[in-house]
Amino acid sequence: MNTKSQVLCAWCGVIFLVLFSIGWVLLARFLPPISPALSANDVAAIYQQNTGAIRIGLALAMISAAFTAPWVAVIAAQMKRIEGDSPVLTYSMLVAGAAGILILMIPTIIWTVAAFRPERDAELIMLLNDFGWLLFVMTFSPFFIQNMVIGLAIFGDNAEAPIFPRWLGYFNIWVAILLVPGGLVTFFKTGPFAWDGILAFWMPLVVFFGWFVVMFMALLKAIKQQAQSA
Amino acid sequence: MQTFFRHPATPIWLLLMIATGLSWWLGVDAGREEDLNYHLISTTLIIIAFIKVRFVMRYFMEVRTAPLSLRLICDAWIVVVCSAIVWLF
Amino acid sequence: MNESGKAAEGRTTHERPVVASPSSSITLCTSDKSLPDECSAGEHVPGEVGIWVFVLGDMLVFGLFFTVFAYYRGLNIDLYLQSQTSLNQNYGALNTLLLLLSSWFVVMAVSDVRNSVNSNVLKKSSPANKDGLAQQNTSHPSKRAAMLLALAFLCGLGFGLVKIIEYTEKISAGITITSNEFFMYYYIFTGLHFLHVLIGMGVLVFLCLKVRAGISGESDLVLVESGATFWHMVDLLWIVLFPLLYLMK
Repeated sequence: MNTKSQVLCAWCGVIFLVLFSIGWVLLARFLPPISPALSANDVAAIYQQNTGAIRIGLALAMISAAFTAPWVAVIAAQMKRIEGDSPVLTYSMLVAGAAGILILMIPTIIWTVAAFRPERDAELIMLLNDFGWLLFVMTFSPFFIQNMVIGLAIFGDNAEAPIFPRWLGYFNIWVAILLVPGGLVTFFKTGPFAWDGILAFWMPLVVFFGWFVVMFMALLKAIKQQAQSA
Repeated sequence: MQTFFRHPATPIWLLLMIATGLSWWLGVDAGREEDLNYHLISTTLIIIAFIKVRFVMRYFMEVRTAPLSLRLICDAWIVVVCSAIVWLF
Repeated sequence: MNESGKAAEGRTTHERPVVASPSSSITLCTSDKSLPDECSAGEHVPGEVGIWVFVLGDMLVFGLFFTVFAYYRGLNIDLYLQSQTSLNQNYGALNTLLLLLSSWFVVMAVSDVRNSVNSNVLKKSSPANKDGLAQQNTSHPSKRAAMLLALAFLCGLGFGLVKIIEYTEKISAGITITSNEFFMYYYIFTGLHFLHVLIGMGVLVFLCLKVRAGISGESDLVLVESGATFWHMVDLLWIVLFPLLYLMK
């Protein structure tokens, strides 16, 4: 059994979290988010004053996004053990997870374009800033499908010793629903449903990070169980 | 039919229906009189709502007979959310 | 049944263990499924533990919603009071009563299913009664439970109709999600709640069909209890939303 490589893949999820936090939070200082209510000049000023750190931070965040590939793969490997011969939920998870990598990666490049020539017109900087943030916060749908199909697959596990505990299925569906308010950011520039708001941004962010931690523990347990049974 | 009326949840359900009617009256009719204390009425409405919630949890969701941890979590939710609303509005 | 059989077949080729692993259950879970009316407090988790992860998680989120609403309401109270006057309190109250009624139907249905499962267990344990007799005795209550669940579903349908009439009135009056802050919360909170109602109605139909087809044992009881727990949560959230949006002055 190739459980060693599976454990490695699961750790890639943690590597993603750590690298992304260092780059996106500590260096680029994109947390708390740049407010959608700011004027073009204020937004441009942020990119002009912090150019170097933003460039390095976003590059690090871009690199970190790729580490979700092995992470998605190890979830798929365990899901396939549940589904057996026609693993449609596993494939759905895999495709949605692949889209998820791009959703994490492309905004970092769009923001990088803004930081590439920070001296350009403030309106253009704001356009790129908006583009990056909307792409990053509003696109909940692939993650929604990803969590939903993981939940459904867990519910379909009728074995006496299920690979994942059933509550993890409910947890995944709960996480999926919590990501939905992100889709509302198109309507608001202030308040809880703006892209820096508590319900459209902070709640999904906390839940998404929590999901990584919970899934990581569950994956390690499932891999261990697989190794013992082999 | 008798079993329906003997069930412990039935009197609770009646109570909940009456409490809803009371809130309705408090919120619509009593609110029309000029000299009433709106703050007091709103606080009463919220507290009635959370008492109803507790009855739903304990008798409908059967938290009454659940393990201590679940009972505590449910009560904590009621206390925290109710006091947050009463304090903030 | 068929599905689980197939799944088990697939399992063996993948060399899956068939021993129960203690790690798959968490401490909250008590496997004792005796009558809650008879057992003392602290013994019975209604439904499966997982549904409580979901229900409590959802309640946590709605608790956050309520708090955020109360906070922003305090910052701009005149706008909220003025907007609230264009809501129809009667729709909100009618919906509260509908959900309460449907919750009562669900409680009675759970009670019926529990009785029939327990009597089934008793019948099977006594050697005098063979399957035929037990089946005959349990068919009645499960039909009644199915009817109760159907009634609960109809109440949910009534809730939906009232909600749609209400939304239509508002939208034709030119009030939408972007009208102002109050209506933003109104549409998003009631909309998300309505989504829960729709999911709950789906669950009720599923349970109704399941119960009508016959109750075989404890696993069915757990299923019915889980669905009921979810439906009661939908009721519970509306109980708070109603005064918060429609009544508070």
